[in-house]
This record gives sequence, C-alpha cells and structure tokens, in this order.
Amino acid sequence: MNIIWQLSKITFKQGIYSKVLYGIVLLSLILFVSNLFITQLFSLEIGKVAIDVGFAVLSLAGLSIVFFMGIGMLSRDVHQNNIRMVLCHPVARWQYVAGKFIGLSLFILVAVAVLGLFSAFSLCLGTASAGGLQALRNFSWVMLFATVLSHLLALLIILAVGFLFTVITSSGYLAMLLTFVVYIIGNTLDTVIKVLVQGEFVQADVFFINGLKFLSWVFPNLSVFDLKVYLSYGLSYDLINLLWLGAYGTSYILLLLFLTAAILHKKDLC
Amino acid sequence: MTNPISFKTLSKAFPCGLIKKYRVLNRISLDIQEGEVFGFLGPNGAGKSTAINIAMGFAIPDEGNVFINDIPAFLPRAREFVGYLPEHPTLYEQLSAAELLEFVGAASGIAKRAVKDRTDRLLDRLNLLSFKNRPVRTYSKGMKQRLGFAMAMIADPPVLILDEPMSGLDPMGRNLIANIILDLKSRGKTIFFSTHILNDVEKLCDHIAVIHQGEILFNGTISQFTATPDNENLEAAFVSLINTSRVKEQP
Amino acid sequence: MLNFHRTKIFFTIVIVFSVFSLYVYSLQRMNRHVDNSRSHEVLEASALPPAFLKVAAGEFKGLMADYLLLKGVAFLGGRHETTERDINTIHTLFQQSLALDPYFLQTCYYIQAYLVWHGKNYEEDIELLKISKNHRTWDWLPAFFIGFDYHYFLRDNLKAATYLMEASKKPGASPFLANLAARLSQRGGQTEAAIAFLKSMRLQTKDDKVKEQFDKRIRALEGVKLLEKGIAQYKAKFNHHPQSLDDLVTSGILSGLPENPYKKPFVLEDDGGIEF
Repeated sequence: MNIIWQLSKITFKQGIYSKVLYGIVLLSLILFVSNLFITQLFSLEIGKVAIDVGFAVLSLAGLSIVFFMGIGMLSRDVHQNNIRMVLCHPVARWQYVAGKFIGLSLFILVAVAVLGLFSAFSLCLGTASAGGLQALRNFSWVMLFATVLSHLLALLIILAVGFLFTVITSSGYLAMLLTFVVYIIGNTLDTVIKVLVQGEFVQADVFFINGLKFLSWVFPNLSVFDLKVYLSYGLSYDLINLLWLGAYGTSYILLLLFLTAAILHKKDLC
Repeated sequence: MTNPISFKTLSKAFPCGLIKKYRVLNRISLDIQEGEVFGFLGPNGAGKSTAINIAMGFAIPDEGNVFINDIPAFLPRAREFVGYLPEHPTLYEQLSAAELLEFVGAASGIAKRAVKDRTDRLLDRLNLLSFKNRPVRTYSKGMKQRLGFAMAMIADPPVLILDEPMSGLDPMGRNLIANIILDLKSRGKTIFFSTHILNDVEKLCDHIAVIHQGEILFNGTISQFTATPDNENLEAAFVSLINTSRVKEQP
Repeated sequence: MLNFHRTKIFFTIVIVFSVFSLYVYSLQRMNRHVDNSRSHEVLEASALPPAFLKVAAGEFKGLMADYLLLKGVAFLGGRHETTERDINTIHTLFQQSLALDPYFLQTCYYIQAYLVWHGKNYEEDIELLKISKNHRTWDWLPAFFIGFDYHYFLRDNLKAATYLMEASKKPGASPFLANLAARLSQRGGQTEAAIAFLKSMRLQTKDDKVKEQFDKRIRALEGVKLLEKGIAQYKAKFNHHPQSLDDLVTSGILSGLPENPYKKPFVLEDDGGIEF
C-alpha cells in the first residue's frame, strides 16, 4: 500500500507542477467572470443560466485536464517508457495502475474543487440581482455539492477509459481520440435509444435497438451523472439513487482498472 | 551457489508487421557470478537492451527466463535486489532530484530518514548536491545520467544492471562513473553492464560476453578473448569476431 | 551605423502605426456593414428534429437551450416587422430550446409574450406551452398561459376553464384564478362543475377574506343555476327562450329572482348566458 501511496503522491505533484493547470485556472476565471455578463441577458431563471454556464466551464476544464494532462502524462509513461523509472523497482504493474490512477484522481479532485468553488461563487454573484441563491427553487448546498461530486465521478470514469486506451494503443493521440469517442457515446447513447424506442422520428428495427441496448452495458452512461437539471429546478433526487449512482460509477471505474492492469501485465514495455 | 543474475535459454521475438516476427534473442544463456563486473558487448541492434529489458521485467520472454537470485525477473520482488540504470534515463522532469530519490527510496522500502541521508551522500558523490531541489528538466544530459545512477544506487542493491552507463557523459563524467563502478566492485557488488565502448570494458570488467544478432558469440574473460595472435587488443578481437560471424551467415 | 539604426526604428514605428490604423479603420467599416445588414438579417434555425439536438448537445443541453432562446430573443430585440418565415423560425428555436430544457420558464414566457401574439398558430404554440406545463408541475404559470390562450385567442372557454382550474391548484397561484376558472366554466354551461370546484377550493383555503370571496361567487352561481333550470323549464313549456329573466317570474316558473350577492341584477345575455 505504501508504494501505491508514494506513486500517487508523485503523480499528484506532477499535476501540481504542470503548467497546464495554471492555464485552465486562468481560463476558468475568465469564463466565470463572463458568467456575470451572460446572466444579464436573461430576465427569468437567472440561477439556472448561471448554473448552466458554471457547469459548462467545469465540464470543459475538467475534460481538458483529463485529456491533456491525464492521458498526456500516462502516454508519456507508457509510450515513451517513463514507466520504467517506476517498474525498475519492486513495484507490481497493478500497483502502478492503482497509484497512477489515485494520484491523477486526487489532482482532478483538487481541480474540480477549485472549479466548483469558482462555479458557486459565480452562481452567487450571477443571481445577486435576482434575490440570490435562495431565489432558486428549493436550492440546497447539498444538491450543489452532489452535482459537483457526480460530475467528478464522470470525469474519473473518462480518466479510467483514457488509462485503458493508453495501455492498449501505441500512441497518445489515438488514446485521446478513442477516449473522446467513448465520452461522446457515453453522453448520447441513452438519448439515442430513447429516441429510437419512441419511434417518433426514426423507425429502427428491433435487432438494431437491442444492439444499442447491449452497447449501453459496455459503454458508460455518462448522462446519468448530469444532475444540473435537479439543481437548477430544485427537483428532488433520492439519497438512495445518489448512492446507487456512486456505486455504478465506482464499480465501472474498478472494472476498467482491473482490465487495464491485466492488459499492462502482458504488455512489453520496450 | 545462487547466481545473482542468470539468463536461461532466453528467446524473444518482436512483431514485424501483422504476421511476421523478428527474432532478437535466440536461446541465450549466461551466468553472472557474485561480485563480478560483467561486460555485455555487442554492436548496435545485437539484442543487449532487449536482454536487459527482460532482466528488469519490462518485457516477457517467449522462451526461457532470467533469474535474479533465483527469482524470475518478471516478479516485482526480484527487483528488490537490483539497481537499474537505463541508457537514456526517463525521469519525471517536473520533479526535483530530491523528490525523485525520495520516491525511489520509498518504493524500495527504505525508511524516510535513511533516504534523506543517502540522497545527500549520493548526490554529493555525483556532483549534483547543489542542484538537488531544481526540477530535472533544467538538467543537462550528463546530469540526468548521473541522477539516474543515483536512483539506481539509493537502495544499495547487491546487483546493478547498467545499460550503456557512459552514454552521454563527457570525459569527466565517464571517469566519475568508472570510479564509482570500481568502488562498487570493491564492495562486492555484482555489476552487469552493456556497452559498445571497449575502453571501459578493458578497465572495468572481469568477464565479458559478446552478443550479435541475438546469439552469444563469446563468453569468457578478456584475456581469453584476446588470446589469439591476431587479436592483440580487445577492439581488434571484437571486430574480428563480428566479421567472422557475418561471413558464416552469408550463404 | 547609428543613423541606420535610427532609420530602422523609424520605419518600424511607421509600419506598426500604419497596420494599427488599418486595423482600426477596417474594424469600424466592418461594424458599420454589420449594423446596416441587420435590418436584412435572416434568422436561421437548424432543421434537425429536437430529439437529435438532444443527442448532439450531450451534457450541454441546458446551455444550448439558453443559447437557442437567446438567439430567437436577440433577433426580436428592437425589431418592428417580422415575416411569417421569421415567426416560423422563432417557433422552431423555442421548440428546440424546450426540447433541450423543458423546465426553462423563460422560453415558456417568451412563447406567451411574443409568439401567440404575433403568429396565428395558436394550437402549435399551446402545444409548446403544454411541454412546460407537464414538466413544471409546481408552477401555475404555464397552465395559466394555456388557459388564457384558449379563452382569448381560441374562444374555447371550456378548455380555458380546465387549464385555469389546473393552474389555480398549484402552489403560489393567485386566488383569483379559481374564480376566473369558475366564471369561464359557467359561461361554458358548466355551472354545477364551477360550483363544485369553488366549494372544494374554499375547503382548502385558510384565508377568511378569500373564503368570503368564494362564498359570494358560490351564492351567485347557485342563483345562476336556479335561473338556468328555470330557463330550461320555460323553453320546454313555451318552445322558445325567454326574452328576459322577468319572464320566468311572470310565467309562474319561478316565484322570484334569486338575490345576487354582487348587488346588481342577473342579466340574460343574447347568447343565453347569465351575467352576474
């Protein structure tokens, strides 16, 4: 366990020292300030607009960190053999996977926490003219926290996918591309299935729909981690469902990491 | 008696296209004795680095195996006994030497206090002490090589595997590393290093093996290698052996 | 050497200044061009069905809904003339916005504030408002808008009453809604339903003043109910409608006209309805 913790620590440090983070924080600052101007364009539901903009920035910044920093770092390790610096010591490959993932997750957690704070601050400022946060229907800090947390879980799923593709492929670019494809599928597959099942716009045969349903078991359903609507409109979200959401995300990540460790175990690192 | 490093009928081929494979090692066997400085010679592309990669558990052999103190090299605990220096040290360049050595020490199971003491001693020995808190990306090639050496030695392992240890070093750096190797030898360490710089071999090695196109052409002492009248020095003997091997291969 | 250096600096300054001036001037020209062409601006909306927009938007549905609404509203801003094509495009934009975020009140608001007044597609606009109503289950406004549109534009008081009744049951709804619903219901020939509705609303009300209002209306409607019964009996006996409510008394069908709690006489209107 100590080696996993040590590896997490230096991975986290690498993230902190990385200049990518400063760029993302600066971008977030600019976009959050612009949120104040964007909310002025709406007269009703300013809170909902502030939430939309705030979380859009959080999504974009979070995805940038996962893709450019996370997958970039992993690609340098696996594809450019930086990994040998770790594996030349008594470190098992699965320990490397665990340590790296935890380190990157901690970094993403810090980044999302900072972005979440900016988001909350921008939300307070944006809604000040409309009566503040309490003007939002059934607003709750707990729900805001839960929304940020579920967003974080979605980002960690994408990171785990990126890790898997880094280990499978031989180039960082390919890993990023495939991860992006999974991200798109994860956010849209659920809606596509619903549209096809309703049959309002497109008639698709049963075999095709069943094929898509099977794929929904393979690809992560990222749309369920989007709780913005519940936060914006004060809709209720069961605590039990929240726990199941956490269990779904965590178990999917663990399965991906198992697969990653298994593939890495068989990979020639030269 | 257990050999610190043992290559047993080791074979490895890499994919070359979709179906074809390119054989890099062909059933090589070597036994390195305890306390030896063993030179592993060969021209570029002979298979030296591949053999070392398998010894370090980075690659999986197709046939045979490498054993470190009788432990299969792929197992992590085999590396408790080994310090490794790659040809081009790959380091996390945002971190400083102190941070890297702290990590490596902890990964090797050394107590934090001991790591700190050893870090300062090693970096001082390798003329890096004044740079210990600077990020590695600001280091020159030679400095990175020396840092790699420090990382290989931090756990004071009984076995050292060095892949082209003099690569990228200026004469001062090479002299420094050579002295360190001799010092390690005097302390009873087993050193296995690959090189194609024959001057270093003559100075440092007790035993050598010559590999070419995945096969061991010679395994013995330097004096045995240069015994024939035509091979008055190591370089001449090496060139002659390689050329002979190439002639044999031609139809 | 020094002269050459100075000349170099001089020419560098001249070139930089010239390029900067070109930039300022060309920017002004472009801005003027954009302002002039604004009056001929054509609004475009994607032809993609809303369901496919949902797929394309991914996790940014809310933001895209905001943008689409803004696009439509920005086009409308300050504009005095809109063509039929413009109205259809705005309808599409609002429809897409609602598909992406059916809870967004501002879209619903703009449909009611603009679309229903400028377009003639009342049924289609009402269908959009229904999306809002079905999702904003806590909000009385969408149902109120629909009720208003049925009454004012489509002259369907029965449907108007249904939606106003629905709106009046939502939390925060104005108490006058129930009365309005009942009034329209009565005008649509549903006096008994209106009385029952008002009675149930009265039971739920805690405010005494509001209860008083309900009591008044209930009494008035009960008077209307009595008069409607009398009119039906008169028609059955004499085969024509009475000319006025007094005919019900003179013909002996009613012993007297009921008292109007609003202190004015009941009036029989041309369409057969009873005004109180």
